[in-house]
Amino acid sequence: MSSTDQIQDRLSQEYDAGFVTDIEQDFAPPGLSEDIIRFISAKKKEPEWLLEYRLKAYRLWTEMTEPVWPKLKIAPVDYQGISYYAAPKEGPKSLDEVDPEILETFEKLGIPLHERAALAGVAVDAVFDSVSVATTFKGKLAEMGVIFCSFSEAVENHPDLIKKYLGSVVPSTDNFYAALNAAVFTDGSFVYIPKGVRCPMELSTYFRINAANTGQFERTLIIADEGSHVSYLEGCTAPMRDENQLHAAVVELVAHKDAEIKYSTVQNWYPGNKDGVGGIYNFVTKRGICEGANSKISWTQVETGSSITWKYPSCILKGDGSVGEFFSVAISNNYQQADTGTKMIHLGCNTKSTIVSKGITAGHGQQTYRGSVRIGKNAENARNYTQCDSLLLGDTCGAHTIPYVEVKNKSSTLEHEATTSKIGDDQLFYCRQRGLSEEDAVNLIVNGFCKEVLKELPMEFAVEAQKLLEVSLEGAVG
Amino acid sequence: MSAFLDSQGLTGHKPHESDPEWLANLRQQACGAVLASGLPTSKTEAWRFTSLRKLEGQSVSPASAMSGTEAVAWAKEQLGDDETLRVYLVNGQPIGESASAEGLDVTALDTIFLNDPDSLKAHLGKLAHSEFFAGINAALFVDGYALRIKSTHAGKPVHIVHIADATTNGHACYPRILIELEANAQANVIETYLSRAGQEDVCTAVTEVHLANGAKLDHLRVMEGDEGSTHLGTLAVLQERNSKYTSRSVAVGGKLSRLEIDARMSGPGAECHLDGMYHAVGSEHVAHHTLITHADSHCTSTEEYRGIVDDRAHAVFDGIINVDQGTKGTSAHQQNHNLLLSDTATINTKPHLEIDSDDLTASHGATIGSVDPDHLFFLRARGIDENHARSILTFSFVRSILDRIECEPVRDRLTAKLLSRLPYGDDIAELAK
Amino acid sequence: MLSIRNLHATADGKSILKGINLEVPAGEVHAIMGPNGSGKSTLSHVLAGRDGYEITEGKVTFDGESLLEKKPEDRARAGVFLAFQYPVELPGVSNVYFLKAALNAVRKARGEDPLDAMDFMKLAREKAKLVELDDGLVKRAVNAGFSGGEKKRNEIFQMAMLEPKLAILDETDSGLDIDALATVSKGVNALRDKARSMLIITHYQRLLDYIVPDVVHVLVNGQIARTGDKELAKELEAKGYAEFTGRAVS
Repeated sequence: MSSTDQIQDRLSQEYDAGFVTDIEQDFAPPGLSEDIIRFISAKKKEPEWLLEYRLKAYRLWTEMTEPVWPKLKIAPVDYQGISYYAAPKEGPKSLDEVDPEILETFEKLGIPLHERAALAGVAVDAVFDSVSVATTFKGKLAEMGVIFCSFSEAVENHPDLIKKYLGSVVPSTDNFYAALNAAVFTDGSFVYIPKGVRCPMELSTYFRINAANTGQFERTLIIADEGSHVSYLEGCTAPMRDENQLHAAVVELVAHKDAEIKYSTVQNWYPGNKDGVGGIYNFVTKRGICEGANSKISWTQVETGSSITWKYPSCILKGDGSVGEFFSVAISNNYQQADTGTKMIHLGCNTKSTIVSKGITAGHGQQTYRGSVRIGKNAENARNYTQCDSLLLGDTCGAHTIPYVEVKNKSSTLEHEATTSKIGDDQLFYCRQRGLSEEDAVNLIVNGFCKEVLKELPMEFAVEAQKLLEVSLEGAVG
Repeated sequence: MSAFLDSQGLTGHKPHESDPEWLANLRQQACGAVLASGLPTSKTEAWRFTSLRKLEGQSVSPASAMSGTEAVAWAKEQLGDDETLRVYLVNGQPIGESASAEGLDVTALDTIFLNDPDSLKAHLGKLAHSEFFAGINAALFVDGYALRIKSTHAGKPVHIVHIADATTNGHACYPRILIELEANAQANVIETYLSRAGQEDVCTAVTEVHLANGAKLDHLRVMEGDEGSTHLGTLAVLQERNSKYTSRSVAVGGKLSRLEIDARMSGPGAECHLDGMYHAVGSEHVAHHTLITHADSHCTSTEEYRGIVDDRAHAVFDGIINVDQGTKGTSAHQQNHNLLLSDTATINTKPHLEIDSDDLTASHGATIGSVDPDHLFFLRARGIDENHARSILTFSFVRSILDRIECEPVRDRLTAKLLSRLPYGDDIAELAK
Repeated sequence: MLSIRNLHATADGKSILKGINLEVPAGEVHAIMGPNGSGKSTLSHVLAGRDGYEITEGKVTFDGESLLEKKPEDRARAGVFLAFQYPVELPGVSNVYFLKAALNAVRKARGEDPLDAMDFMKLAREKAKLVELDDGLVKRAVNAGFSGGEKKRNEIFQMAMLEPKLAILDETDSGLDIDALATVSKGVNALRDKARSMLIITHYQRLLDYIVPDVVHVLVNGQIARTGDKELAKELEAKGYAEFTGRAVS
């Protein structure tokens, strides 16, 4: 049996977060209109200004078209066929009142929500379809002035912060999906770290799409005030369904002077089956601004899920001496498609960015790294280093690398390197000669290939990510 | 409709009387395509870094070769004797005698249209696409040269010298060159595009190259314009089995100089090497767009472009490597390195890989930076003043590309030309020896 | 231990091994010498089960079992170790992790329990001393950025860890300076054992000054042209392969 066959053989592992939770839910009727937006806003008891914000975004959206430049084949999305609001009927007042079915769901996913059982050192906001169902360790965080709550609560309790920052990094006008999100977003997480505070634990949001025929449109906003520090994790899963489901999120990060935000994602939305049926359309706009001097924003992502991924977590390096980082591992197996990468916009002096992207493509997967590095004419001594490598497993997949680079400042330095190759026959044989099975050899080599990125993940996620890589590649190798 | 397209007579365009039917059809299609698309805008991916806003409003009319002999005399003076077999075109039209040597036939296209037009049918207008400027050339070219090279050919390089010589009655020209190498033929061909008058001129040039099995071509293409010249070049190459194509592009002057290379390896074992050197100063804009397609197995490609950008100039490198599905044993490597010497200059680079096969090694790398302060310090510590040290480092950043030019007198002339454009360049001429 | 009967192999349709016969009993060290292109490396690859060769005739038994049908990893688990002429680099994969995975796979096949991290590290430190491989290298990625000598020492280190029954050393001396050669040889000699056979493939006699073989075979044009004792190696060193090339072709 050739190595290709063997690798193909082991590519048939099942998606193990694909179960459905059976609870009573509230739905908005399918379709999108100003009335639906008013319905969502009323459901969430929102203030008038937020409704206006939504309606303005909606009107913009109706004038916009989906971007056509990504290298993606997307079956047309029927925006009128989606229900824009789904929430468990029984809204919880506190952790103790959360529907046991939901608690069990998160338990199954390895995210216990009872604080006594929760992972030490990680506070979790759990988002189930359109709403946040629980946030752990709120009290403990509040003692230090850290706000970590659902977006809806933030609108109610911290309207000034929301008003000030909502849409300040990703305006509704940014793109089609960002406008859609601004019109219909239902919940998400809000984080504010006060001046000089080092957040004592990892903050984490866990997104779960459960209901059929719905989209998830969450919004995350993280503000790190001067000299503060926060590490934030996000994880996502969805049941296996034959229809494609839309996930169009917006994440905005603001880092003030000397502040640092580390944002890690392990994205494991349902990728569709091995024939490419079903799966999540993951169309996400993530952007951070290093507003103040010497601030830092670091994105780390492990993208194993979704049938289609369209996302470019980016940094605007405005403050002098600010730092942007992007570390990414993306796997596209079976019929998965990903068009992903980052933008680093250097505006301030002595700004520095690092991009490390590792793409693994197998089966009929198609993957594009799309990056943009811009160094403005005032960005004295700006530095960028980009490394993007693609590994191809099999001859029916494709890997594409499209970096855009623009430099206007002569004291800046930019370096971009990229490689594309398959796993070396020599490497496989060497491992097997030492007694490793072909599967183990492939996993070992893939893990080595991704190591630079995986080591950026917080411990709790690194192990999960490593396992995910193995599962995602089952049957993929060639 | 833009003034630019309008003034060249594309609307209501009629084929030339001497055109064979296939060519008349080709011209008509190209014309239709250009009129339908109009000029590219910044939304056209391949043109997002090169603005044509100014060109669009410009009225240009086809220039004649009236002052031909004078222009040729001028060019001879510029180029000196470079031990090549030369032919001249002025404003797209052959001037003076054709050239021939053992195994080599250089004939004006117009002459072939009169005698044996169908001998051009296989490749003329078939290798280059007909979008935008290549399309304008296809619709409007009047004449040019066909080079046919047999396996028996050996000898001096062939040097095609084109002079854009704008006069009061015209500014636009459409040189067209076809180079065909039969199986196992080898040749060295140089194309030099000069601008004479210092006035506004627009040269829309197309060169098509076909390499049959085992053929080998070393091809140097020089864009050497002046403050008024716009050069929009297209170079299309089709390679058969085991052929080897080497292109060197040198850009040393011109208001707007742009070269699009489309090289396709359609047979196994082919090799394609694209190199380039560009130097842009003042408000010059220089752009190289390359597309290499690995359409068959065991093909190798390398690319190395190096550039210097100063003042308010703008340089663009956009290189695509396509590796088609089902190909095996591919090796594709691309490099683009830039020296940015001013805060008002801009560099865009876009090294782009499109890989649909797993049996390959592919890589690309790009750098943008200034003169390395450590290197500068080293030279100064050895007693060289800063200005000269900068000049030396600037020159040495790109010289490796010039050094690969095989024809020595041509290499020396272009090296001198580059040095003359660098601050303190003349003082460091010794270095180039 | 190892028995090769009339082994014929081709690569890319070209016949390389043309009827090899070889018996290596337990505990013996056999050297295979030959000029470039004689088939030495092919023999080592075929024994270890590398892709790209077709066995057209003959058979190989190892410990009484047929070897050629087995997958490379199963041969390794049965106790066949190949020290590569060009050890492969595995970026991002630490030596320690790699070797622990390999050792436990081999132990499992032998019916032994896996070693835990602590016992493994203890063993690794002990064996690393054998070839003077320092801790830093043990923890780095497999062969990545190693010098030629370090890679070869790493191969012998792995051999010491995996304790094979049959060690095939493919041109282990190539690219080594005299000091590194001494270190590597010392490591190999320490691993000589009456239960372990070795097949030392080399172009030069030099290595055999350090690792003294029991038997020397001359491989020319895909066949064993002559077999003798260690004096044969010296003879070859003096006279070269010229006389054999004639004889083997005839």
